Amino acid sequence: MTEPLAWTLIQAASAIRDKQISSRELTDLAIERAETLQPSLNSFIAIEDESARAAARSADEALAAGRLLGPLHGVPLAHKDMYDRAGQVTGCGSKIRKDEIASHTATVIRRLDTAGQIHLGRLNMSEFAMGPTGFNAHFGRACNPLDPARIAGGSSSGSGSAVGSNTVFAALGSDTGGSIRLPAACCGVVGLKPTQGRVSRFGAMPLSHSLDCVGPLARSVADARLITRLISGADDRDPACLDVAPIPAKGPSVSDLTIAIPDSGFFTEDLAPEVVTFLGEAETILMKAGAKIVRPKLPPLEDVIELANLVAMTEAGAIHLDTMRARPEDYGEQVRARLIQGLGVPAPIYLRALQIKGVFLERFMAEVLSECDAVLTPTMPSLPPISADVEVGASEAMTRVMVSIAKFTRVFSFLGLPTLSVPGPVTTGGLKASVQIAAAPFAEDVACSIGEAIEEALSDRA
Amino acid sequence: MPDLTEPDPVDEAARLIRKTLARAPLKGEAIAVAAQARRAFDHCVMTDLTKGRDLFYVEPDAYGAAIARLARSKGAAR
Repeated sequence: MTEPLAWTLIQAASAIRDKQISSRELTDLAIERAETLQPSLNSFIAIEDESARAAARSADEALAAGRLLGPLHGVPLAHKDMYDRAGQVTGCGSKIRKDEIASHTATVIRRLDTAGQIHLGRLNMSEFAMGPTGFNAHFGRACNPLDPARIAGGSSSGSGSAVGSNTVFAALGSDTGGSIRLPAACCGVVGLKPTQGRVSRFGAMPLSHSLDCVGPLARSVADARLITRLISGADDRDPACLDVAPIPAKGPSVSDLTIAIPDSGFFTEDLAPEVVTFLGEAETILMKAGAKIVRPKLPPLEDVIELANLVAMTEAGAIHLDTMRARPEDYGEQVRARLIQGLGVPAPIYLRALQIKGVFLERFMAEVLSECDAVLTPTMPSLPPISADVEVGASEAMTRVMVSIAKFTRVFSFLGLPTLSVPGPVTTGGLKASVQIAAAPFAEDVACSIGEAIEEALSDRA
Repeated sequence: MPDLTEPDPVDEAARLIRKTLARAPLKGEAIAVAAQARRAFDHCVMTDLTKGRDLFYVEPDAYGAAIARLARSKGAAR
């Protein structure tokens, strides 16, 4: 077996259950790695080593007494700095809320606690989850473990960095326009944005109530599916969270699926050669696995990326209105310039965007998802850029950078579809290209089956 | 040539910030607001995503209603 910190979450949980390693040993290894890498990667905002060691000791004592807490018993995880834990700080990667003590615990954190996780600390993020590059004016950016000069992606930058550097076995991120899938793609790990409404957002920092989704970044598709199964389900404290059948532990066979892979238009424009290569490899793998590949006729998508931004920034503007009045200097310049965009959107235009969201979902279901089970596209058009090249301050160039990085992910955010990002093999400069797989609402199992087929074929080849 | 009878969008945005936030615009803010106003018109009002559908009866929460319908069709957890 490989070095313990390189295990998948499922392998780590199994090793603890089988007493091949104790939670305390694994947690000590994770803390040591987190502290060693912090000066170079800056993945954490706070490493909570004492409470993690105490929790690991308790987990070992429980196991010795024959009590298994749950499927994550004793496994160290850490999460984006935006999930409340009663009595602890939830800083949202910001100066404004850096000392804010939560009065309650987020539903997703409570569910992971019940499943036996060990909480290692709060992970770095873009300030208030604003920005796909991971830039943070207050805490500095989390760096990419594959190449620290490049962006880790955002806004769940620390989640990508900590999972990709084999520091923690999985991490929660949040996705409004791509904030799980982009850092997953940049850092070469798996990211799953669940269907809008599948996972409770109670106790999670809001950015845009129409688009926010909570989900995991993980080392494997099976790990991402497990975490999503654990955090899903109806929650009385989040009225938008739906009571829907859980994600099945096993999805359909890929040989029974029809997968749409665009070969022209929006999703094929301005792709880096490494992205084109992996897209072709993924198609070959899926064809060999027996999937039927079709070329979709997609609706025009150029407007969708702006509509997603318009909805997000208008809703974020309302959330931040009071502090934008009272403490504007306490926001980073780039975040402030994005937050204020919502003022430029008249109310009827915002409401029209929401009307379009519903109508466009119906259209996409009728015209695209009636002909296939999933759509596979690149997650990002390029490999992760060099950090210095995208630190563009508060300028019109900022908007261009935001759009170019997140143009493919925003489409499926606006549609609210479950979308899984899966990394390819190592390519130029030790980096990885990724593809995203979007399925019909609540069909996370379909996306995971396709992702696993790609993952297994690449693993066999290695 | 700019149309001098039309107000400058950045000046308009600056006025909006002063009125809404009761403070002067900071660096980059007025430009960001003006740019978003232009994009909102181009991509939301002028879009053909709805393929000419009459939106007269479409409620803003059409998405929530559609997703709840789909959830019901998938069956409740309990």
